[in-house]
Amino acid sequence: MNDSLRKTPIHPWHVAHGAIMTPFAGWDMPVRYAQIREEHQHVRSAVGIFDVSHMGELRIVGPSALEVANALFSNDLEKALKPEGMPNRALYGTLLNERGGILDDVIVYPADREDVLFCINASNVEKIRTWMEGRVGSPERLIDESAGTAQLAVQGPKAPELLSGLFPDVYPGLKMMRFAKSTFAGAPVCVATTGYTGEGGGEIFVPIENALRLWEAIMEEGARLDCRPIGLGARDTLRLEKGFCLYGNELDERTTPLEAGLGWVLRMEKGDFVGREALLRQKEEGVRRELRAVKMEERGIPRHGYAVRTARGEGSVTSGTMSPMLGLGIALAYIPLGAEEGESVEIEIHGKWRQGVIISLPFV
Amino acid sequence: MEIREDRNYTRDHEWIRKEGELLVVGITDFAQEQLGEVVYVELPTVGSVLEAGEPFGVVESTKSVSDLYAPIAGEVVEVNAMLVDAPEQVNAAPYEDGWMVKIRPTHNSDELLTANQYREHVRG
Repeated sequence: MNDSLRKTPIHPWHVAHGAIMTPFAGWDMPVRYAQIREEHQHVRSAVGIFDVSHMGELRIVGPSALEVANALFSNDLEKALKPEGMPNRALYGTLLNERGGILDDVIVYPADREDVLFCINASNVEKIRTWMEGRVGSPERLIDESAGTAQLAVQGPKAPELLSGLFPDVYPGLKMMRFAKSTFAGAPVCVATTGYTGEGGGEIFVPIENALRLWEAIMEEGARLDCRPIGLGARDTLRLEKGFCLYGNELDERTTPLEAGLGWVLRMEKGDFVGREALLRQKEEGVRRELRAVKMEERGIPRHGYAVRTARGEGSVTSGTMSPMLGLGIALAYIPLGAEEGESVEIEIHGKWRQGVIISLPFV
Repeated sequence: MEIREDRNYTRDHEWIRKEGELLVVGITDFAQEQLGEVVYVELPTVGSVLEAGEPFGVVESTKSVSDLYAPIAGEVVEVNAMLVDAPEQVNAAPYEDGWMVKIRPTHNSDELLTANQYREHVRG
């Protein structure tokens, strides 16, 4: 085991329960405990728990925190604030550079006008912290809570029942993409109806000192629901079946939200935000490639980097796998604009061009 | 982790067993464990001529793609068609129903390992 890898508070539990571990973004994380396909199908049919403590948490605070945050974020945080007493919205969106290129895709949790939490991809925490430091006015307005915060996800059709049992004060009736404060072991936690699998349930931000206890409490509460631990392997196949983007595959600094099919997270009319001008220019000039979904019609599993051939030119697979629910190869790929749903494309797999079809998401 | 005495092995975690004048090839128990659940196998067409050490097929799990390397030069005379619809046989019975190809060798190989040598290779 590599001693320079960071470990989440749940690490000893993963190892004790036979998880196969792998380095990911500098962390020693569980890929799987059983087989990936089993874990995946279990999340779609019952409930699973994921350790996503490697993710980062950056909080912008102080007077005008919401305005400051909103100028960095492509979606509109003003729309997230609900009337007094109602749970606020968690918003998915992008942080862009001046060229409209994606620095990270994030979920943002504005608690109020002076407190906005960004959940950052593990691989981008340093980058985004440095980027924000220069843009929030003064250093004490940006708090990096990553080291002290763990995050657990509970996902699946039985997850709402599990979370309602653990957080009866806030979870029951909480609509999708909302969040609320609760407590666990006497300390505050944030419970959100967010997730990366397309199933019901949620994610919980918990102080690291209580994280393992919370994990164990979830496993105990979930025992009668057959809650199982799920690794990053299944997390990836689950999100891909839904067509969710993964930073580093579908998204990077040379890709704009318009190309990635994320136009829906842009609120151009809300006022200025970093990258807005570049996006307006790109809208005018026209986008030259777009992210599309391909379902294989022949044997073969498309993978990242495989070449795609369409009637309008070539492209490339960003993510691909054998879909555990469909039993077919599925892929996201950047291709030239204009492909219609139902159109045939070919993907080069092990030296042979194999047929797939353009479909609209989700795959499952 | 099982290593059978009745066959030879390669450093790439394949086994080779003599069957009359043919050689049967598959991947080892160690290999299938490392891979995880096999979801796809691609094998050469019958009649293909293989060169020793060259990739001749692919075995894939959900997360990984692994090349299969020809342990010996020869002609492919049979492939295990069951692996098309039941790739998981590679996990369930890597030394039996999970066999992959049968080769009529054209040359000998002095690179094959005995069961003991393979055991050392896996340990080391």
